Order: sequence, then C-alpha cells, then structure tokens
Amino acid sequence: MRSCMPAIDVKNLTKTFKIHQKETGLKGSLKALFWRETIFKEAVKSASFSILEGELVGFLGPNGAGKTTLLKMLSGILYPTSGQVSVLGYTPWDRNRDYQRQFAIVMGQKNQLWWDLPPSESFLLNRDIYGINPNVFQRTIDEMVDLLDLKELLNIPVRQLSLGQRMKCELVASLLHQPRVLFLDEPTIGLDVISQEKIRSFIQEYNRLKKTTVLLTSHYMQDVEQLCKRVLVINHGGIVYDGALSALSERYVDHKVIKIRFSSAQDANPPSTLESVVEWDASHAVLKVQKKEVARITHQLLGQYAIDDLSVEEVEIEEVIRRIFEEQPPQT
Amino acid sequence: MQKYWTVFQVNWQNALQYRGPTFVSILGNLLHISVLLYLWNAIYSGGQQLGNYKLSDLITYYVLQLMINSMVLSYISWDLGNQINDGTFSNFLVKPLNPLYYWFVINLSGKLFEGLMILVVGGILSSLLINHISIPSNGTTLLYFMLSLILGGILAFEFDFAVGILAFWLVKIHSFKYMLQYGMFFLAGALLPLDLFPEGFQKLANMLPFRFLIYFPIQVFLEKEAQPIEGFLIATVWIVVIYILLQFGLRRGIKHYEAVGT
Repeated sequence: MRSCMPAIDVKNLTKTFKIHQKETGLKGSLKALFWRETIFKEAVKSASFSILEGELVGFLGPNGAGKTTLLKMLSGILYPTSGQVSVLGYTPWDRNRDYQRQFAIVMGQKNQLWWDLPPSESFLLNRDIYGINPNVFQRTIDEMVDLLDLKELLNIPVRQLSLGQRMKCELVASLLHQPRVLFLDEPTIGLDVISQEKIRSFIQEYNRLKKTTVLLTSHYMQDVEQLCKRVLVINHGGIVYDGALSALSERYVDHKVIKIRFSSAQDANPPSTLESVVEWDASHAVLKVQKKEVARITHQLLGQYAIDDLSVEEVEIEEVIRRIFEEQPPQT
Repeated sequence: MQKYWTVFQVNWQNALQYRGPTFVSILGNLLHISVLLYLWNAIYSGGQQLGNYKLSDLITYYVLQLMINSMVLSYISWDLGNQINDGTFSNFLVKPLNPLYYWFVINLSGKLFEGLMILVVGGILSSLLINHISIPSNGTTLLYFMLSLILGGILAFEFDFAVGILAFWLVKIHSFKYMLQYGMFFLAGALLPLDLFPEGFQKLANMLPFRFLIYFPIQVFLEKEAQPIEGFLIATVWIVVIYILLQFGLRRGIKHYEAVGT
C-alpha cells in the first residue's frame, strides 16, 4: 500500500557549520584579517527519523535548534556533513528535476512572489516553471482561492498585501504543482492570531484532502498542537523526542498538578507537613505532586481541609516543552 | 522554452512598473553625456583635433554610448547578489529553473524594454544634432552595428553575472561591484574612445574582451573598424569561453552556498 511507504527517511543526518569568530572592536577586526578562530557548530546532530506518506508531522524547537537546517537539507538547499536522506526515493541534494516537481518548501521569512506585481503573475510563472497543464492549474487555483478566501487579492500588487495575505499567496504559489511532500518553515511567523488560525486550518484541510506529506516547523505551540499528531522535538541539533504530542508529558513529567479551592478561609501559610506547595493562600492552593503520591496526598488534603473544589491536572504541554528547551547542551 | 518566455513576459510587466525610475535614470545619463558634449565642443572650438576624430565623430560616439548604456550594459548583479546574500537564491535550488538562463532572460527583457525608451530619447537627441553627427554610409554598416550590439549585450551580461555570483563568497558585493564595473566600463571605452589612449593602454584594452561592450560597436558604426568580421569572431570566442567559466563558477558557488547556508 502506498500509504505505508515512508515518504521521508533520514539516517544519522549531521550538519556542521564552520564559523569564523572575531573579537569585538577595531582591534579584533584587524586581528581577524590575519588570523581567525574557527569554531565548528553542529547544527544537526545524527538525526534519524522516518515519515510516512500522508503524515503531518511537526518539528518543535527553539530558535537555533536546527529545524530550518534540517528542512533545507531535505529540500536540497544544503548538503549534509554526513548521513543519508531519501525523500520519495530521491536524494534531495542531487536536485533531480523529477524530485523538484514533487515537493515544495515555504519559508515564512523568505518570499518567492514578485513584490511589485499581483500574485496572479507569480502563479502564472510557477505554472510554466513546473509545466502545469493550464486546465489543472486553473482548477487548483480556484480550489485554493476558495479555501483561503483570496478572490479579491489576486490582482493587487504583493507589496500592498498584509503579511497574512502574503503568506496565503505564498502557500498557493508553492502548491500549484500539487507537491506530494510539503515543507513549511515557520509558516505562521509574525502573523496575528486570526491569520495564524486561518493558515493552520488551511494546512490541516489541505493535508486531509490531498494526503500530502507535510513537515512543519514552528516555535508556536498552537501550530503543532492543532495540526500534528506526531511531533519531533529538536534541541541543540538532536532529536530528543519523536512521538505523539499527548504522550510527551507522560515521558518527561513525573508529577501532576493539584489545584484546590478551600470552602473557608485558611491560614495563609502552608502547613509544614505538605511538601511541593507551589501556591498557597487563604482561599486556594496549587501543589506539584509526584504521580505515585497523587492519591495519598489528595486523600490527606480532603481529610485535613474543607474543600470546595479539587482537581488533578496534567502539566501543561507548553511547560513540558519549555523544560526540554531549557536543558543545556551537553558539553563538548 | 515556454518557462523562460513567461519569465520574459513577467519581467516585462515588472519593468512597466518601473518605467518612471527608468526614464529618470535615462535623463541622468543624458545629462552626463551633455556635459561631455559641451566639453568636447569647447575643446574643438580651439581648432584642435584628437586622433582621427572629427567633432561629429565624438558627438556620435557619446550619443551612441548613451544608447548602448541602456540597450547593452547589464545591471542584474545588484539583484542577483542580494538574492544570494538574503537566501532567496534558494528558489533556484528547489525549482526546475536554471539561474543562468533565468537571469539572462530577465536581463534581455529589461534591456529590450529600456532599449525602446532610449530609442525615443536617442531619436529626439539625434534629430536635434542631425547636422553634427556621423551617419553610416551604407546598410551593411547598420547590420554589422546591430550584430555588434547583440554580441556586446551577451558579453556584458556574462561579466555582470560573474560579478553577481561573487556574492557566494563575499558578504557584501556592492562596493566591490562598483569598482569592477568602473574598471570594466573604462576598458570598454565609456569615458574616451580607446584609440585616444597611449599605445600601451590601447594594446591592453585590445587584448581584453571589454572593448566589445562599447568601443567596438561604435567603431563599427563610425566605419573606423578595419576588421569587423574578425571582431565578431573574437567576441564569439570570448562569449563561449566565459560561458564555460561561468558554468564552472556557478557550480562552485552553489557548492559553497549549499555548504554554508544563509
């Protein structure tokens, strides 16, 4: 079955950048003319994963984690220091024309649309660059204009469009040749909440309709939370987690959060017998409790205090991610 | 190829958006040329003659140079360099599109557009100066002149593209680019006809391909070029050689680009 084939297969992918360092100031600049200290930065470290056709997978990681570098290698813009990649059976940095006709990359901070012309001109150009049949082209445009509500924008010069409108047009331009694999690098960066939401729903709907394999990077939690069942968390160049977003907290968090509202005023200071109090005042309290202790402590609280409301909650996913991100890189 | 024809058309649309600025830059060149014409007029009024140039030859030289600046000389390296520096160049690595052919077509459509505008300006100027300019004596000269413009245009593009792809290795090419361009245009005969320079310099300029951009076409027009056919052949050889070098440089540049990212 086609859907069981891995569309993307990455093995031990590593990319090391050479960076020249310079001391601050004029003296440093003069020195750098003759001697520069070279350091090596591993942007991606031995990353391995595989993605099935039709999957929508999110890359989650802070700035500089290596997300963009990874996408660039998958699309053939960068070649790796070591490791193998196969996308739809092609090695991306061979830049085979057949591969180029089957994938697209959209970078939130780069554009391919002609700045002074209406987006329709750029669409026409892409039609002929990819050799798209004019009828298919028209049908695709109509479909996407409908999905993204773009009708009035097609004939306005790109420079007069808002950032959100421009992003929508960038997406359309990249999807005209109906790629089987789509890489989205920060597609919602800098957009307002409403535009973010629209782009998100579009990506979701598009993936559902066309079964396109989508790989998306973002540092907005909501993007990944809404769109991706599976996430790859990348930090300091390495993939630190690969799996369902919902399972992330099970794996990384060993405690739950107990929230209490007291029915009558309490002593504003927490009792010394209770550990792991996060907040405590006369009317409410929050405790962080080891998972295996939850039952015992809940029991104890219910016995000791008059309680209106008590809830046991998972740690918020965002906090889990933040904790992973804050981990220091291993010293080399 | 259909895709490059579309590139041509889209860039034509884009050039239309910029017809105002293009016109202003033509006026700027016109002003520059007028000053030179005024200067030569003053020099010649003393009765001297430089080389074998009559005053009408020199006036023609600068009027043609004005037109060649718009129709032949290429200025794509600015945009190309910026695209390489800001990473937009990646589009050429992910799409079935050859950067060399793409920029050639962009340049061609821009030059044809600007050429149409300069023909109007040059036509008006020539009709004002009709009694002071040299006109070719026969049709063959005009045909040769056209051919030399085409060869010059291709060479000018190749040099400009070479300057643009320096951006693969240099972070900011603009100041460097101006230096190279001034040198190139000087050796092309933009300031003075090359045969008015000392002999040593003339020899050097004759060995280099830059003379085909400005000096050679004008010499053909003025019927001062003794061996136009030989010139065409030499220019063609240069075009082929530089094309091969460009392909090589482009490949090396992309390798570098792929390695360092942006």
